[in-house]
Amino acid sequence: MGRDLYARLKRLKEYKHSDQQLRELEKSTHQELVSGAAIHGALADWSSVAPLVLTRETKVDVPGPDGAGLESKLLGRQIAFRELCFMDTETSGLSGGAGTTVFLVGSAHYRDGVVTVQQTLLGDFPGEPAFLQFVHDQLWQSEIWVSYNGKAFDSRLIETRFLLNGRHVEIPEQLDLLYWSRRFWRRIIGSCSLGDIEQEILGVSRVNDVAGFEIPDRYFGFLRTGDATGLLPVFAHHLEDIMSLVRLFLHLEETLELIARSGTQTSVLRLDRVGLGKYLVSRGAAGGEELLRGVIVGPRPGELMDGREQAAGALSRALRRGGRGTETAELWERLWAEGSLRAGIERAKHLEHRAGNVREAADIVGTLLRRSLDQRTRDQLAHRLARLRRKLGS
Amino acid sequence: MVVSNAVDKLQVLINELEQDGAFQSCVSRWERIPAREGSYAPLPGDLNPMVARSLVDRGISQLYTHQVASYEAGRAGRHFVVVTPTASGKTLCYNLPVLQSILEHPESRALYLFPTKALSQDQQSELNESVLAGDLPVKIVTYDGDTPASLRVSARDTGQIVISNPDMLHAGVLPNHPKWIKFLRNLRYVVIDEVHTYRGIFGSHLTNLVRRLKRVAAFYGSHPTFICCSATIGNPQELASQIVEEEMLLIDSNGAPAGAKHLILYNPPLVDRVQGIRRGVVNESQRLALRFLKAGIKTIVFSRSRVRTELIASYINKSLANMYTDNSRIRVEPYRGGYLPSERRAIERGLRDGSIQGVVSTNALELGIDIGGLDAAILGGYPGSIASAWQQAGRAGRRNTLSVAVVVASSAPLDQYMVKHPEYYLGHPPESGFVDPDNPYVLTDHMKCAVFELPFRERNPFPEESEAVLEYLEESGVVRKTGDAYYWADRSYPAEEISLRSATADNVVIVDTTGGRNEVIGEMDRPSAKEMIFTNAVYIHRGDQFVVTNLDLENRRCYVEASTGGYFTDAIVKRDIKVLQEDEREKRAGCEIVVGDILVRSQVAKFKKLRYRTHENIGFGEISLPEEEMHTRSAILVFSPETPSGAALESMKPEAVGPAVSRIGSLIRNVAPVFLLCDPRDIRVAARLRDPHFSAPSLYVYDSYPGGSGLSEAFVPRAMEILSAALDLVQQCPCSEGCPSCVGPRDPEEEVDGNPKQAVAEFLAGWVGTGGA
Repeated sequence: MGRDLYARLKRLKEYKHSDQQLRELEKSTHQELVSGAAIHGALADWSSVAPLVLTRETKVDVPGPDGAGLESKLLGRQIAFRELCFMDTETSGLSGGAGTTVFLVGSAHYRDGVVTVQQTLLGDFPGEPAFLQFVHDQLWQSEIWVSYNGKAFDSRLIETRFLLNGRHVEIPEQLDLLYWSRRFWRRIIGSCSLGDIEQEILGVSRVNDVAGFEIPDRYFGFLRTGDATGLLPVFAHHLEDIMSLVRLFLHLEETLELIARSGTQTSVLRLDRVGLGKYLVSRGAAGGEELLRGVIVGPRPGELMDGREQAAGALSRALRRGGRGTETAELWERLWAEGSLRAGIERAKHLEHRAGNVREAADIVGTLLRRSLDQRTRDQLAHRLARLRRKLGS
Repeated sequence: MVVSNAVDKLQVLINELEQDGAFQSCVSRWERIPAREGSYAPLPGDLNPMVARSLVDRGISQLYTHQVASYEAGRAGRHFVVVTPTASGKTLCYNLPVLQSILEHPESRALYLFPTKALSQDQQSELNESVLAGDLPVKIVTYDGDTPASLRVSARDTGQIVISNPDMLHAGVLPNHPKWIKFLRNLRYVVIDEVHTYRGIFGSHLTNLVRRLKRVAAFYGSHPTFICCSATIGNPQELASQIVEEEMLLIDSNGAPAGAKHLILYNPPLVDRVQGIRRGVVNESQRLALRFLKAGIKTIVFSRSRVRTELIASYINKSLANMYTDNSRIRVEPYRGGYLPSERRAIERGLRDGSIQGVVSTNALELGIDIGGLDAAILGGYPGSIASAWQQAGRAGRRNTLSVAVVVASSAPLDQYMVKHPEYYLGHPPESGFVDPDNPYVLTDHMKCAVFELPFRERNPFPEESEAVLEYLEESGVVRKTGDAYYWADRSYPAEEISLRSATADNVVIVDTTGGRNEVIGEMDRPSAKEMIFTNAVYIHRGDQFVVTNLDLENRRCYVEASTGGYFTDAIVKRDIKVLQEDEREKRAGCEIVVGDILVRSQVAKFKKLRYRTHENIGFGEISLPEEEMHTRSAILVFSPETPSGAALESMKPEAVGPAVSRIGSLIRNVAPVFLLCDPRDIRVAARLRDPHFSAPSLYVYDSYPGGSGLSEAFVPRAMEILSAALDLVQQCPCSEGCPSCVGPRDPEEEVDGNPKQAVAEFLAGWVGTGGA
């Protein structure tokens, strides 16, 4: 029965057969990796730390502050550089899930203008327990991980890999620079992939960079053949990502430091006024309110309603905290006059709860309900309208 | 006499109908099913006092015997299946053991699986929360495609009972099981509701899904108890144990009482005796429903299509509005897939709280959605299977009160057969369900997912065949064998590419643009959209009439505007099959059998405009839409002249050849599922008297899943057995001119002379009987 089924399956055509040639080369080099014996060719600069676990260290110069640490604006405290581990991974798939493996982990430390990067490679699946042990020894030395989208992706996957190998680990404190990048640049440059940030903000451009979607297949090719040539661009890409991470960290610290010292001359800094305003307001720092108000009443080209609504939201919260809640109404009124949905809702709230003008609140909600809305907003508005009508009725 | 009580009102109406000569002349059978006493047992002594109090507060001071049996089985950790007709207190059968266990061990977890994606589970969660857990410290959450991302984490971490569906388990939960560690580690119970819906390919998928769940749960050290609930089908225990692959205890002695029921088979009156034309099922169902509703009886009407649902509901409402009497109090709503969830919830609620007295529904309400007690059910057309007919009829009837169900026959041959042979419906057991979990297509799909979820070291609970599948997957490069295990070695996320259902998921959103509005009012799957909401079609939504201004398939938008035309539209669909590739051709079972890829195309090129009420055709319109295509696998039986089948055809009277070829398809469709362990819906059969590809009469047996599901391939080695069984069936069938169990009932529209049953029997005997193999 088994063979019969096998034959039938072979006839099914839906599966692409992978490259025959690659499979011809099968396994010879691979055995050497298992024994930890000769490592040559593309992996010549890597050393074996356990069967199927390889590692290499690279030092790269990056201009930056000297000394043992700095007063970090991102973390809001004095830190020592040795506390920070810059980390990034490469994985066998892009969608996550239990079948996605981490095959390359990088950890880097900054000191006096030099970045020391340790890259660790999983030679094949059975080496995973030893690979994770080695990664653990490296990454858990530091108190804080600095990553790019690591909170949602890399650290989750690492946690999963440990879990699937029967081990529970606590992920250290993490400074995810994606959040900071989005805050300051999303409205200016759109997408905030690390590549976009490099190009638009750090002014770095890569040559012959491997596309992210190719990476899994290059790894699987290596597993089949044992030939790591196809991985060379992946190693370079990974190294480059980590360098960008360090540069971005230093750039952000420097920018925030500059703002703290010289205020909001953002035209030089190329930061989004909404993001910067929110950042300053949340810290009670000077200049934030003015920035936000400027976006609301005098938007510059490219400052869209979504950002202005956010500015109004943040400014309203700040005003209320400062006991100046009465000033918020005019902000929303201004945006409502320009047709903002959120302003309409805020305006209706204000009219209902503070101004006591139920009739006008109901009119506004009724107008909003005639728009194209997502289901949740529609339900909430319908609920609000029903309540307003009850009030009007009684 | 003042008739106040619903039961008395119904009794009065039934008395009236019994005296009504015109009504009686249409009745082919009036079955009176007597009331059944309940069989009760006290609340179990060890039942947690909080649960007991909560039950007593709701007026439940004793249980039905089957509920107690379920409780005991569940508590003992025995897998069981409980057969639960409507109003038999199904939810307590699984909720009691589950709640008890969670209250004893708050870390315990349970998974409830409901079959439909959108319809039942969110309502079920509402129900479970309000009915049982309202005052118990148990957290019940729904986790499905509609659960907002912001709620998912807390649902996973803190939900003690998680309500979901197979699709979500398949593509969302299992591939991400490390996120579910807390849940899976403590998984004590898995409840599979409506297990009878998992038949054929869908059921085969479910068996494999259960295997994957067991495997992942075992990785975290848990071995849950499975509880299945089934409607009345032929083989609930067998089906449940095939799906769960454990020994299942059967609990089928229903302890719930039932009121007396009248079951009436009704054939609409002839309007043209000469041509034998009867009054249409839409109008007749509507007339009957009106009669019930006006008498103050809560009524559900089942109709066979979405358009008919809207038509019947709007006719009823118009008739009610025209009355001089105070009928405005009577509210009747249509109900079908494609409405917004909030609209459906509102209708369900209205039915439960009594503010809606009547509902017209597609089979969407056949499943276990709670709509409270109804007194009358009108089946506008026979729903196609005995099990469905009983389920729909069962929608009327409460525990202690009288109810009535009327099956209104349409002019379709199947309906006409049923109504003329009532013993078929009343005497046959409901259909059985089969699954074939080791179907290579299905198994291969799930093996990919399983390897993705955990490296494969040991095959349990997968079958022996899984080893060959793994070898095959390794060869095709998606898994990698190294050391002692198979690992997933592909960048894809396999569950994403594998659908458990045949229907596509991409829906067209219907947008109302009347007077500058821009509001989403409903949705529809793409293939149906082409047939129902093409540009210029009339679309009826909850009784409101719209005309489609533009169907934008690319952006999955359909723009409609309110309209007042006096007609509705009906697309004319042409289907055609094209052979794409022949993979194998061999002489077998007395004919040539070709296995290959085919393209099934449906094209809607025209539509009819039909006047409301009279349904007379008042014009045509053109539709320009791309064809809907399904690329699938087929086994084609070619009756070439040099084969025994061809010879058998040639020796027949020429006028019998047509019916023989066209009807043999129905016969095979009836027989093959038993051999292929599939559901009749999983395969389709098309016969061609003159096939342009093969230049000989041919019969296409093909998979109804896009891409194929392995049934066509499985058909080939069993073709002879299936044909012999078909011959036995047709020879032994006691009918005279064909019935739904053999070649299909006689269809006057076919315009063939002679008896189709005899023609098919003759053909098969001349072919298979001669030892054609």
